[in-house]
Amino acid sequence: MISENNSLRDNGLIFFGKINASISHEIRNVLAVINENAGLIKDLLQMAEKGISLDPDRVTRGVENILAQVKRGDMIVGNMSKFAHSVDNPHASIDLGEYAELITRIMSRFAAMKGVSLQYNPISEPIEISTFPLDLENMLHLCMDYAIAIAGDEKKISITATKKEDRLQIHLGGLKIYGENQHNSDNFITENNMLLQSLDARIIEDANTGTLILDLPYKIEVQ
Amino acid sequence: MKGIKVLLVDDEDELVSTLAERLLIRGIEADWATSAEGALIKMSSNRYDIALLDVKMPRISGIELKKKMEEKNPDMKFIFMTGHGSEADFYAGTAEAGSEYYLVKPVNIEDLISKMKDVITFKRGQK
Repeated sequence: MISENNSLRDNGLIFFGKINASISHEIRNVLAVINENAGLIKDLLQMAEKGISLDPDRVTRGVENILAQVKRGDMIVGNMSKFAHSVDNPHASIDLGEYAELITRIMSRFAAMKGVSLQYNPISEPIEISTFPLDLENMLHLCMDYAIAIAGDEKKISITATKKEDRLQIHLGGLKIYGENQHNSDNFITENNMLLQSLDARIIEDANTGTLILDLPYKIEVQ
Repeated sequence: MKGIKVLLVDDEDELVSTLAERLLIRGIEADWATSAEGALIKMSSNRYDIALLDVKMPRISGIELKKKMEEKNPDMKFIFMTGHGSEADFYAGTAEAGSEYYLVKPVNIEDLISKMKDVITFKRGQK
């Protein structure tokens, strides 16, 4: 039991590190664009001091680019902050839709690197789940990572949180779940069995609709 | 740096397009692409001396792109840039890229030009 707990904790730390590295990489991109635009405005102003006429439209475009990047950076930092605070309590009642949307946003860059887009379909009302937030986030990330690897020809994955009788589900649609991928799916479930057990969750595959389903209980009791 | 032509490749279009403008202000002819595929198309009709490549790009990474570009132009020289920022990342990156010419974003333009001079000096020294 101790080694299982350690392994889950280690996996959680690896996941947390991976996401933080990705977010800091994104922030560096934002800073790089701001750096070039601020640098260009400085270049243009220095040229104007030497008597070369200043192009106001180009300066305006540079300023607008900087403002757009500040907005982008603010969103990234907002996600980072939300992600960091999501593990304040090892066990908590949370909104499944909100968490699925957050992990979708965080995983979008990983998906883009593989030429895949992730689309989260918002729901009108919160879906409360009592669970281990870090384990849930890790499982959602692993499901999305796997879905990216087996994305269908359109390379678009739709993600939906839904209630199904006495269970809650995350649907990842737009996948190719047959042939060699069927075997890969079996491996994916086996490899992540410990995490699935911790969440009292299971993976359901629907090859006909190309959907991978993460099936979860409403509540996990803390022992 | 006169007569030197540079190709900048990064999926952040506002980064490469603005950097190209700033290099041009400094008398360096620079072209840009936002994907590996786009860079290879540009190479079909232009001859570049140096490529500045982002390590992480969608579909084809900067490391893979370097190999494809070398096949088209074996004389081309490469400088990499990355968003990974730690010292450990830097050394891992230089080893992975097979290049000591490696910059961390955000890039200081004077450092970039200095690196460009280094690669061109190295290139001329090889001949």
